[in-house]
Amino acid sequence: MAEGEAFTIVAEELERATNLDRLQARGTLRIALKAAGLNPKQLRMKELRGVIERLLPGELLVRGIDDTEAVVARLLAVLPRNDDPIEDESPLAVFRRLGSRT
Amino acid sequence: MIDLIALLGLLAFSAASLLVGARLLGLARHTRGLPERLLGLSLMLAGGIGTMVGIAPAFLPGLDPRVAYATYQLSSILCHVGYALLPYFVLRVFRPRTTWAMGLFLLSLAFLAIGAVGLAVTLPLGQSIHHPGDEGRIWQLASLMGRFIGNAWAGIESLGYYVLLRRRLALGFVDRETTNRFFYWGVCTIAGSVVWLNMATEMLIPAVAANVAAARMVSALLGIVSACSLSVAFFPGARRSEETLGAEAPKGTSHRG
Repeated sequence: MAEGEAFTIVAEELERATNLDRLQARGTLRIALKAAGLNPKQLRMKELRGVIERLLPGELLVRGIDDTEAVVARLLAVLPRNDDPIEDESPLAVFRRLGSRT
Repeated sequence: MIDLIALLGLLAFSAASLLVGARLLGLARHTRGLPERLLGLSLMLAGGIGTMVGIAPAFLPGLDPRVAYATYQLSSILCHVGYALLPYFVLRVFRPRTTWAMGLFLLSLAFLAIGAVGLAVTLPLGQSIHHPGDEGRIWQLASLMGRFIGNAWAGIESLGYYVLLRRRLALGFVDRETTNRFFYWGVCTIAGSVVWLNMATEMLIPAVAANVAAARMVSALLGIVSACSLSVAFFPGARRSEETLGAEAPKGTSHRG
């Protein structure tokens, strides 16, 4: 999946599933990602799924969206099921490797 | 006594650099990864071999001045190549496609090149490269500036990434050991940058120069801090399990820190 594509897919679905406009939907998602220390352009599906399940409901409630379970289910449904491998040369991947035994 | 502590700090950092550098180069043979090669070489050349070679003449009082001169020149070349590899590692790992980062790397490289060449050309026979006379002062300061940029940049990037990963850690997206590695390496490189700053202030501010013992004590302690944090960062934990090598570890499975 191209850089930032997963973010766009979820933000568009969030816009359709709620009364948030494009800017609000993207902003809400960005706030949830920032709280998790994630960059919208370098997201792994597993991380995005975790943010949608665990952080986004709180952000939606703050914005007056009560039916968070249904929204979360819709967002999860548009995400690809298989995870993409972590970028080999990201700082995280490099530092994980630097501490490995082989 | 101060000299002994200063030497201890220097040797601690040098030994840690050699060991960690060798480990990372060994790792690079298996992974064929450029980052581990860059950091391993940087540690081996600058902190390890270059530093050891550079202090050797001080322990050999009867050494022929021409041999001492050659030793200092060799040490300076090894150290400066090692210093230059550090900001290149930071550029490659943290900011590979960022224009300002390339500019910062080139700035650091320019200071190091100017300093290294200037020191090599102006070093008189019979003088230590570590305590240059008036002719070498400006070149030493240029070199220190290049080293400071590399170390401070590495520290800021690493600690910044650590802050981000702390949030991901709370959600179980990363393992604690890798998260802490950024912290320890950040501490190590920031300590190094303060050592270079300390050396520069000793050269520039008469009040600091008048109290050499305190300045050397600070550098020695920072050398020990740097050695410890470097070792903790890059030696795999004894209790580390295969699970923590994956992308995530469940909460409560932390092994360290």
